[in-house]
Amino acid sequence: MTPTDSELISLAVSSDDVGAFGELVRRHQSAVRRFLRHLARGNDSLADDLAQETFLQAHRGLSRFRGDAPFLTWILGIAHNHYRNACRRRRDEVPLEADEARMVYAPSLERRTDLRQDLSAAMDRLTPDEQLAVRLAFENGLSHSEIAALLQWPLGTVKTHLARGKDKLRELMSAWNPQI
Amino acid sequence: MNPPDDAWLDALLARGLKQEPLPDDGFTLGVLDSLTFRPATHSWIVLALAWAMAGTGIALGLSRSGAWEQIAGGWLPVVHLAAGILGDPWMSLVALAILASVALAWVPARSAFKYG
Repeated sequence: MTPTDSELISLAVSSDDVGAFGELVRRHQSAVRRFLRHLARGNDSLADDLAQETFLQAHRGLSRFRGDAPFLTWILGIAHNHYRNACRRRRDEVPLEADEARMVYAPSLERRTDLRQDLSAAMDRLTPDEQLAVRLAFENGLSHSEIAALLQWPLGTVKTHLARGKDKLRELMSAWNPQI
Repeated sequence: MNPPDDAWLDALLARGLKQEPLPDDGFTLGVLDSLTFRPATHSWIVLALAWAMAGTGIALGLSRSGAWEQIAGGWLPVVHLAAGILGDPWMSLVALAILASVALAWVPARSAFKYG
């Protein structure tokens, strides 16, 4: 039987079992790296370096994991902190205007077959905070309160960003609405 | 609560944003390798040097007092050689450096043994 995250964490903490921690890394590396790649906006090597630091810090602090939220939520929170610290160190956060200026593709008004391409273009029209909230909710399946805890935002802010993001997406992706 | 016509958007987002897992590509191995490597810190260097100096001092002291001869028994020629090396100031420095290196190497090596 496949051990749960909680069982692996117990093994890693009580027996210093590196194999158990390795399994946790294998399970969650994709979500953590994707999350950081999104934040780093295409700088994959920076994202992967931050992901490695994230897991190393998680290992050091594993005994402090209380299990109030899923392990993935906890580790994405660490990843987010690492990204913010890296931005502070490098002072290279891309302002929203620049992000919008590099847009070269807009979602088509006619129904298309490439959902991912249309959605990716539509997502680029959202502010970074809206993108983050939408991705965490729909890509990672986190609840509003988990997103709030992870990003250290008030719950109302999460709901606002999600609602605004979805408002924009509803319009930008209207060609995909089967009711129209 | 979502308005009724949001169901299509929720389904679309869930489908469109869900992605294939990224291949590991040695990422996990890299993390585990980093776990087993602990660079020597300043405190370890100071401790190792202090240990090496103390060890050399004791070895020299025992050589001069003749205690080695009683302890060594049949290994006396080897002990004499070691004492001669340690009695030489330059060789003492070399011995001290070797002892310090062994002590410093022990820190990451201990992790490697521990984590296999």
